[in-house]
Amino acid sequence: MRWASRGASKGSRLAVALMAAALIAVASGSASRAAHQGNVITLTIGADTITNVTTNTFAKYRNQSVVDFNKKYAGRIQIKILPNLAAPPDQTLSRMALRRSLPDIFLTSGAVLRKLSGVGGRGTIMDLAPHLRRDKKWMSSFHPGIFDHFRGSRGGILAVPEERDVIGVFWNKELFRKAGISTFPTTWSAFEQALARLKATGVIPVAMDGDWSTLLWWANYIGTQPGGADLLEAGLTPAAFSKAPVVRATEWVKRLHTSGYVNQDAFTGNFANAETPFLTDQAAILANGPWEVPYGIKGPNASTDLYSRVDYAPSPGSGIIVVPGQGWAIAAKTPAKRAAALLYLRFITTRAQVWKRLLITASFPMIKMKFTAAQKAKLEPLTLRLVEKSTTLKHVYPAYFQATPAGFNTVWKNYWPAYVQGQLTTRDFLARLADAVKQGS
Amino acid sequence: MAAPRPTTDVVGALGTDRRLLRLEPAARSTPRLRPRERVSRGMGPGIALSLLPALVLFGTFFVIPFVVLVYTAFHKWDVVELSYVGLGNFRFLFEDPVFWQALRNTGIYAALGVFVHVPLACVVAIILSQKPKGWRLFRVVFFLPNVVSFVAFATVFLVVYNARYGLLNQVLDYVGVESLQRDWLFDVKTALPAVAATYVFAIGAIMLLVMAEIASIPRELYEAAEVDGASRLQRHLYVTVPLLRNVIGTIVLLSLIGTLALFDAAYVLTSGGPNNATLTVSLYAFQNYVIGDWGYANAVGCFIVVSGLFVILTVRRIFRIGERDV
Repeated sequence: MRWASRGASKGSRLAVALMAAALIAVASGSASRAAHQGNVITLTIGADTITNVTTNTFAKYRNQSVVDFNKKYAGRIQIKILPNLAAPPDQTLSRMALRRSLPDIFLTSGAVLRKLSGVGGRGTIMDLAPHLRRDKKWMSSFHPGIFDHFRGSRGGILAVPEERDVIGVFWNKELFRKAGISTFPTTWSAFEQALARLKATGVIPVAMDGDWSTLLWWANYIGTQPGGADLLEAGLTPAAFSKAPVVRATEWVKRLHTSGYVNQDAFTGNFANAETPFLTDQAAILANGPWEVPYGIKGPNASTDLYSRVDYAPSPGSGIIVVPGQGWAIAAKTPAKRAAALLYLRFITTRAQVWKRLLITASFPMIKMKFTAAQKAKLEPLTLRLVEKSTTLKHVYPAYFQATPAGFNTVWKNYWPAYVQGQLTTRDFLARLADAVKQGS
Repeated sequence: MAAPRPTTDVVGALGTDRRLLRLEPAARSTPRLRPRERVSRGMGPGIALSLLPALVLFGTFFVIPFVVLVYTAFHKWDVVELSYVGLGNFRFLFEDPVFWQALRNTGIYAALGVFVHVPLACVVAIILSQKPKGWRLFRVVFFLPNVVSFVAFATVFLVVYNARYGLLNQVLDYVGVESLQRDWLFDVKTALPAVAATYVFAIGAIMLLVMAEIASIPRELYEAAEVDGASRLQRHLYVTVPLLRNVIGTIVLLSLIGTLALFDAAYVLTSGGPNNATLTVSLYAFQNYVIGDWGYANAVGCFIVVSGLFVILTVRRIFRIGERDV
């Protein structure tokens, strides 16, 4: 204003007055909007993949669910999607917990959640157990035991699982038929006999990679031994590595190698080296999750019409790996935000949202669902059959990666070839795995 | 009328021009500066300003990380805490058999670099410097691997070494020695040589440096040696090789420093396995970082820095890098 008072013209003074009036009007408008926004609860949400990219169906659904939620609760609650958590996500979350800046809602594994609840102090992660107990209808909608992986050290429930997938065994019916076998073996001894007969026909009986696929067999053998499922459920502690189920499973998987039942390149740690022989009718059996159907068996690298020659079975010994995936946890600080975040968890566990997720990701839900004939027609029959069968099997257990800390695979990949080649005894090998667990947990 | 007597040499040099002589008192009032000092004083702020971005970058990306590295190496540092442990990390480091294995492997990689990689590159450079038929083609062929990123290069070797469909096993099968077929990268006995082979024979960059140095050697020296009756081998042995001392020393230094930081080959091909057979010190540091033991990983980093300094000083001394033979 100083220049106006220094003898500026009347016109200039008028212009200044108008500008000042306009500024005041703009400022008051913002304030009134701000006052209105004060009623809207804004939450943040974070996950390793949540930004909308077409190549990742899981990220795509997560993003879509927030969009749907924001639409439903427009004017009351708004969830802001944070960029994908920087890798490794567990360390990123730990750093956030230290700074007490975790997203209000975030996705991670049960093991990381247990760690985080000790990092940011008690109460950082909201215990969902009281809310689930209060709302019996909501609680009973979930599959039994689905929260086990997300139990806190004091028995609370730290997250709502994202899914309930089953991981079984794909087997090539045609290759089995050539070996004179018509059904997939249901006991381990029958399984070994089948492997010998398959080998005699010149095919690779079991496709392995030294990492994921190998460890699925290891978990299957542990889980179907007496007391084995409990060891996996509790998370493999260092002490578990000297227990009989783990020792027997380790020696059994080694025997598959030494008997020549696996592919020659079974140590690479590259899943493609296990998958490719199965997809090209060179290997008879492959352990993997249901996503193998759309991305592998029906994919461009599979031999012609492979799908018609393949079936999906539980593990020998009547067992199945059930994966609750990661879980959605709440770290919002104020009661209002916590209530709003809880609404989001309820929203993504509604039948409508769960069905939407199933169609996008082909991953089965954490809640119990009875599918109509029309819905079943839209689902993958191989997977659906196994999911339905999974409720009647004798042994249900989590996957190895839910029972071990991050970095376990690296240690396994490092020592596994040496163990199979006889450079390490079973005891030494398992002691090194136990050390890795001790160090990582 | 007597000519005015100049009071300084400057004035004397300028002669008797009075307009210039009037400047004399002012010139006296300021201290005498050499031309370079005069430039420095005048441009000081400008130079400082132009150096500032470089200093900021150097501070941000070298000084601060280095200080953090050293500081945290004496601490237990993970996602939960940062607490002083003195020499605890270093004590654990020297007690850890995995670290000693990584160090031994790094030593083997270094020896292969110095005694195979560098001499091979020098021999090829000397041969190609004679400009035999097709030398340009060979020079390009030898240099080609250096154009590709090493991670991509190593990925190709994953296919070459694959036990089921790998090129190497197929060649062995073709020439009738199936008994030699194996899982090259995951057999404890062959893993380290297999990893080392991926870079030991990639000699292009060193070859070019040596060829450039050979090109700068005066022809007269060879002519004089020839006149003295030296054979071709003797000429290279007593003329070329001694005059390559500086460049060979530099290459050996770079090779050793490169080995201390060797990471990508082992990480891509074997992740340090099997049974730590291919683990390097850098990869060992990385593995500890990944599991969240950052203080310990930085203690390994400190060890690498100190080893690097030792290597630099030793190699400089042995090869007298930078000195000229008179």
